[in-house]
Amino acid sequence: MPALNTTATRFASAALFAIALGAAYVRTPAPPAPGFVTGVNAAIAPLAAMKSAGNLPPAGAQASAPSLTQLPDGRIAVAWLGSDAAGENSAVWLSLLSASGWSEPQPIANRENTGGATFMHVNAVARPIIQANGETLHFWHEAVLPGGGRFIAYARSTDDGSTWSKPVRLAASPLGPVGTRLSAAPLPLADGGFALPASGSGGHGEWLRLTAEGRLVDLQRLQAGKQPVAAARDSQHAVIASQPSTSGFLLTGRTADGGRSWTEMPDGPQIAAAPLALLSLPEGRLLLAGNPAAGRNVLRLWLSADGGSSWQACRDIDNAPDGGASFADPGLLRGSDGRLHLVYSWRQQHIRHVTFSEAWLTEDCR
Amino acid sequence: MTLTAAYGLLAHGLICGAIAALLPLGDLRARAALAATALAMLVGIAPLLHGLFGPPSLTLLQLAVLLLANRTPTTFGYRPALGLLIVTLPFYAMALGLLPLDAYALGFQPWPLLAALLPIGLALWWRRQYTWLTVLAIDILGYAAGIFDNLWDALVDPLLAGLAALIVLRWQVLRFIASRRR
Repeated sequence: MPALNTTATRFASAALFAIALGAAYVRTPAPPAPGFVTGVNAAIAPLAAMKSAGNLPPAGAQASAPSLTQLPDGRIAVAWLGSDAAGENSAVWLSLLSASGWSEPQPIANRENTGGATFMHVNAVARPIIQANGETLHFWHEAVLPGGGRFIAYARSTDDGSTWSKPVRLAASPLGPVGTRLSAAPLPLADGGFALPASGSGGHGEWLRLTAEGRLVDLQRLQAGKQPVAAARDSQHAVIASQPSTSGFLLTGRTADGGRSWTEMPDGPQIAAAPLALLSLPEGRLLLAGNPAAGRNVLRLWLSADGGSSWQACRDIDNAPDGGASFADPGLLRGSDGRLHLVYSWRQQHIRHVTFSEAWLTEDCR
Repeated sequence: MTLTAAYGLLAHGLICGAIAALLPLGDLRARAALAATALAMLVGIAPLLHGLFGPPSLTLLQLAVLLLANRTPTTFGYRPALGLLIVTLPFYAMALGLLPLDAYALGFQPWPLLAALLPIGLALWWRRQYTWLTVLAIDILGYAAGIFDNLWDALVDPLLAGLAALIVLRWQVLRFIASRRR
């Protein structure tokens, strides 16, 4: 190394190092202890048994990976991945459900705007997740890179999805594109931030903590397997469920301290290796949507009345005899009026939206 | 455009320039480096590298700048490369899930990491490694400025670890060949 050993260099480098340490100390975030916002309003009067279903307006020949949330004015927002028949030219589309029905889908992300904003060569976009929190609609999606790697991009909107901030890359892994992938909708936290379940590069689950501005401030490795989904039961308790690794049974875990530590729970029902959805219901019950071991040609709902320790199969939302059928990527939401909303990818051709009440769900539990 | 995105693109452009500066081009070396930097950003090589590897660490960027400023080849020799490799190998093994812990998580609220860097900085100062001390200080300043959300990303990256592995491997091979000739 060249000898920069003049007195000035000696003291300048030491001073710079001291200043840097001081500045980093000041900048280091100190988020408060995490507490969940459950959003489960038990005061809503029980609804009569009801169920209705329909498809979202089409946007491209293929549709998959829907995500849903409720806006402050009560409208339901769904974002999903649409692409052409060859699975190319993917874009994330957004449609809002109001009293007059679903709005015309609007593209909110594609390879051009994600690549242009992040200055990265992006081949495609994938797996959107939206979450309303107050007046802000938060939006995460994956950007697919040459070679198949992915990174998580984040944007937000303060006008119900009409305009969006430029997507930014969320650095959740030191391995660049061989890193963390999105898994399920985040849990809102009391400080305005989020806890986002994700999948790590080693096949493990990850628990990302984000600020209200979408900045990553903490990361925790989960014992649960890939593609974890989570549901908060109260401010400190939450349950996580994830795809089985080899056994074929649902892996579950729970936290009693806002997500800082997790303990394993008994295995759940046998399921296929497909994305799941998990939702907290009043009286501590949990609703799980996913494909049973039979395969993706069945989309089933399970209920747990004991916080995830045991599960009862309740309803098959879709069931096709042909093994090639795929009813996948479920997303669940309990609306402010108490109705339950389920969206899923129907044979990768449409996004299907099913609305039902808890009375309909439980009347056929076995 | 965000600060991190702009940094990543420019840094990969400069790294391309530094690679061009390694070519034995004599008096044309500086011009080749400048041309490579500009070309990398204009024809899409820098966005491609940015996508493939993410924003490079400030350590790698500074090594590239030092190379462009003719401060090599001794800046990143065998010993620093070996030291870096000793740190990064378990670090990336943890990130891949091969080890139960995850040191990367420490970088989001990096008080323990900053505390660990203090004696390292003092040791560099004591051993008169002022260039490395400055490199480390600028790394930390990059985190403080908000270019990186995780301090580890300012310090190391997979490209830097790969470069360190190449330097160590090359040194070991040369040593082996020399021992066979004796």
